[in-house]
Amino acid sequence: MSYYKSYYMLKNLSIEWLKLKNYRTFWWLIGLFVLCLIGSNYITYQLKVVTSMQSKGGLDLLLGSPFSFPDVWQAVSYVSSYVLFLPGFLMVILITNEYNFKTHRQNIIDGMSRTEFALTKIFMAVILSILSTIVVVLITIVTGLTAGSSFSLTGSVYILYFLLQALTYTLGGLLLGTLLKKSGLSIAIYLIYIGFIKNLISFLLDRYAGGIGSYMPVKSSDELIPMPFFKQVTKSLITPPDGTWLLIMTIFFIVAFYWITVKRFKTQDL
Amino acid sequence: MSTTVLSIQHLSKSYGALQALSDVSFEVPKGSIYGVLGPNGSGKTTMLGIITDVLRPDSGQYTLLNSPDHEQARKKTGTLLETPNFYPYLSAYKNLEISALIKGVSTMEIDPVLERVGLLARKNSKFSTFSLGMKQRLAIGAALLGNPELLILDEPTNGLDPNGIAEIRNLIKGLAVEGRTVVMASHLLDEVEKVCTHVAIIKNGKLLTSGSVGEVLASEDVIALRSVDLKKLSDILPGIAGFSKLEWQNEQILLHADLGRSSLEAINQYCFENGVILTHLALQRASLEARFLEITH
Repeated sequence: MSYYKSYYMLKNLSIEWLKLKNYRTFWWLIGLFVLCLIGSNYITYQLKVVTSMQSKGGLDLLLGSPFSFPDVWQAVSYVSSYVLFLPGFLMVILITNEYNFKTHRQNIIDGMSRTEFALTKIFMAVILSILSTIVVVLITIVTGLTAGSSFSLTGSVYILYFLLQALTYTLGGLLLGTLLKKSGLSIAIYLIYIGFIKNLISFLLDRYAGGIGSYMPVKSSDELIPMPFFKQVTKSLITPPDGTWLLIMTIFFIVAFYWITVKRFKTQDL
Repeated sequence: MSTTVLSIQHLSKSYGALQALSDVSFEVPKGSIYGVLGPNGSGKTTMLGIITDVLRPDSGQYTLLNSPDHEQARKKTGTLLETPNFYPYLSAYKNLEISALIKGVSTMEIDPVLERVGLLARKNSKFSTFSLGMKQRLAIGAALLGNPELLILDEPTNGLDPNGIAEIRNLIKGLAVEGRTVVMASHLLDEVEKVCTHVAIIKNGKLLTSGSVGEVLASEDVIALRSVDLKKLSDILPGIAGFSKLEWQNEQILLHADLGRSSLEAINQYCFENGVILTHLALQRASLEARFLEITH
């Protein structure tokens, strides 16, 4: 990126900051998100501790030790990924707000280019994803050490997968908002897709289209991090989807979300 | 240096089957107050939306401030399009801070602008608490940020009370005196007549006419004449210099003529010399409304 372009990107990010700084919903959702990240991992960890204790270590053979290094990278990433709908939801709100208030028009009228506007929002999605990943890294380290294991970077590739998944959710939310413009409709479709349709399509495709269900949008990123619990049991029951293809499809969808968002914002009537 | 601030060439735009704008071209000279006049839904806002890059034209081009870089030109243009668009949860000041940052204008300019539109006392109030008139004034304030060379104002007096309307009109005239150019869309005839130097009339997306207000709205002079013998009067009138046509109206005759080539005294004298004594002789400048109806029907 040239100096000129980076200057404009920084300037546009500071404009974005002015929009968010006093926006309460943003801070509430961020707070809720971090709370959910910590809470969901804490509960899962405690569950593991309690089941271990009650079975007097008998279940440990099946469960493995998911909250100790190196497995803790996968376990915390996996549990945290269930809360990723929140930053995506936040992106839907941030973009449809602009359409609602017609402030996207004002930004363009004041002299921002359409590409700059779209790229700034994409940048926001990237920043949100990176911040989520940093929080997850911190939770991982704290959990791993609490479980009494010593720090190890083995298995930390799951953090990268988590970042890819976060990018999928945030950029997916942004794209959906850009396409639909209406906040209520976008939020409804976003939540229904994430919570229901995604799995339904995936199930139907697996059943009737030769097992390609795992490679659908968002679904492919979900499956990057397989379930860390009962590894021994699941391994013998289910054939996991091809990891390389999951990675390829996930990156493909992230690039597609990015590209369609920019393209759409450049050509639509605002 | 060119004296054209905005040049529009063959702009067309349709929404599905509706042709909102059809091959519209005109030029706005520097320093003019250019009224874009037309009934609601005639395509005024569509046209202004295109030149501010909010809407995409199907075909045609435009040049803002003679610059090939539309973004840079927009930063030097103050625009109020349709409705005031601001973040409801931010204060007036913070909303203008965002506009100022995008335009590359110092935040020092915000207070003077708020003062000018009478909102300085409410600068820390949230936009959502403003009345329609205050919102409109804030939008005009945003348009004034950075001392723009060109202002594009779409129905600027919308939602304002009579006092506010008068203030805005004075403000617009003042801007023109400072050498700025104003493009103003309106469906209000008398607003255009009171403020504008130039006018373009749009109907159903088509440009019907454009030019200086003098050219468009009073292309010829209309003189009302009365005499005892109207028949004889009508016989001799075609002999007057600059005659174009006459029409009968109740008890008088309306003479359309170019007073640049004749004068009221000359007409009076001509009639007298031809044996008609006038009982009434008055100049009736074609009223804007009559002219507007004539053009749009």
